[in-house]
Formats: sequence, structure tokens, C-alpha cells
Amino acid sequence: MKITQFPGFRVGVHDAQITFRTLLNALSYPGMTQEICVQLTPPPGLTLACAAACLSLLDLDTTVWLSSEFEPDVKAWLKFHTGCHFTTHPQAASFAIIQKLSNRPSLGDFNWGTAEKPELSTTLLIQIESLAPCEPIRLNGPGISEEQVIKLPLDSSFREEWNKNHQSYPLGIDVFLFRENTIIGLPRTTNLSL
Amino acid sequence: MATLAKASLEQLQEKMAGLEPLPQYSFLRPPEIGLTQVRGRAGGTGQIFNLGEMTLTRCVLKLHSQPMITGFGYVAGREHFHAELAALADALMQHNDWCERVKKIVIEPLQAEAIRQQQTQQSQTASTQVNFFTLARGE
Repeated sequence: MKITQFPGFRVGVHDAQITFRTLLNALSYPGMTQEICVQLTPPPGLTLACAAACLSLLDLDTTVWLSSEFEPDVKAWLKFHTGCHFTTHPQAASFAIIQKLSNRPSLGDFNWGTAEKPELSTTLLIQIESLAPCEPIRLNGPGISEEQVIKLPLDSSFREEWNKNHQSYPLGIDVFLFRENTIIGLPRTTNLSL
Repeated sequence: MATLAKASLEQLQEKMAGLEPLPQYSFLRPPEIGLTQVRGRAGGTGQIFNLGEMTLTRCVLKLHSQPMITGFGYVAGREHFHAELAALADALMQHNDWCERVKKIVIEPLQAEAIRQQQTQQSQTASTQVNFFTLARGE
């Protein structure tokens, strides 16, 4: 495999810790936009926030499913800096990196965990490309006092699949949505409605 | 790569100074310290066993040249600069304009030094050799 020409975190330990804290906050306060404050030159195709999250979350023990639109450079970069393994079976993946929300596979394709080990489900890292205004979506559930409104291009098919995911708690997948240098977390406990 | 890893930092620094001015480079993976498990085989061919862990420093850098050249350095110990110099020498060895010079100024002297040290050690060991004889008892 070819060697990447893009460096990773500048200060490995601190940047990874800052990013990890931000990811935890994103899941603790679903729907609230969190900002990633690290300097990074990600390979083309990955946003800064998604790249930083990958460097923080992936390691030698994680299996990654990568959507096919990514350039080979992205795969080489992830392999070099994290040492993660890649798979083509969504069911076997502990993390799935999806380049475009509009071109995502069905949420049902991924591993939702088992009753004994719900924590082994796939975590989705999805990049959002469009900045087009869209209808507000209301979120409620643990971590949200009353309700949180987000304006993201989550279409009706996503909402339908998400409802199934939400209802099968404690099983189900958790999602991180990335745009440039910001993150929004959607844990399986969150309910989406229009 | 073995020559660069086994040379001491002082030796490597001294030899690399002979190459000045060195080309520009940047880190892909800044020098980092870690542990590695050293494994051996009993008698060289037998079962694999874990000998123990050792500290290791590694570094990957790229030269600002076209096409891009990456150099890898893996050295024993905790010396960041040693890994950096080893990676730089590795990268230069892949560069057509530098290869010959690096070989002549860095690699060959270091190899000669390593062989000389090994011979010294062998001769010191040989001089303390003790032979054991068993006398057959005449019965």
C-alpha cells in the first residue's frame, strides 16, 4: 500500500485528548454543535473534524468500514496513523466512515450489537456536505432539557430508519455528524421528530 | 537500516554533520517512544518465546522533493534525535543525488566501526577462553 504524505496530529497526546473530550460532549448533549479546535491537514475527502475524530477513536483493535467514494489516499492515511483494520462487511465494523450523508447505506446494514453486548454496535461517522437550508428537526431524550432543534439535511428515510434504531434501545447505533470543524452527536437514545 | 539503528547517536551525529547542508524535511510521524516485544527462537530454530520488552523510538519523515520520498527510522532507546537522524539517512539513501554520498560518508564508516567493535569484543572474549578436559580414569 502506498504511504500517505499527510501528517497526523501535531501534538499526538493533547490533540487526541481534546478531540475525545469534544466527542464525549457531542454524545452527552445530543444535537448541540461542538467545535474541534486542533490543527490538522487531513487528506482530501475528509473534513477536519472527521479526520480528528478518526485519529482519536481508531487504533490497532478497531475494524473500519469505509464508504467506497473515498480516495485511496484516505485509506492510506488512516492505516498509517492509526493502524486500524478495514472491512467490506458493514456488520463486522466497529466504526463506519461515510463520506456523504446523501450517499449513505441503510442504518440497518450495520451492527446493532447484541442483547449481551450492546456496546459492540457500529459507530457511524458521517460527513455532511451541503449547507443548504433545511427544515428544522426537533430532538428530545437524555441529555436534552425539553428539546433541541437542529437544521440538518436528514430526510424522511433517515428519520424512519432512525426511529427504528431509537426504538430498539439498548441495541442500536450511535452517529456522529461532521461538517468542516464541527460535530453533532446523535446517540441511540435520542428521538427525532419534525 | 540496521547500521543506522545500531550506531550510537554521537557517531551518527558526527557522520551526518559531514553531509551538510541537509535538505528540507518535515515529519509524517514525529519521533515517538514506545515498547516492543522482543521474541526469540530457542537455539535459533526452535519454538518462539517472548524474551522481554524493550523501549524503541520511531519516526517517519518526508523530504521536500519531487517525487516524495519517505524515510523510516526505528532505533532502540529513548533518543528522539537518533530516530530522526536514522529516518533522514534512510530517506536520503533513496534519493538519487544523495545515495552515493550517504553511503560513503555515513553508512560505510559506521559499518566499519561496527565490525571493528565486534572484532575487539570477540578477541577480548577469545583471550579469556577456558578449555575443560576430562581425563579418562584408567581402570
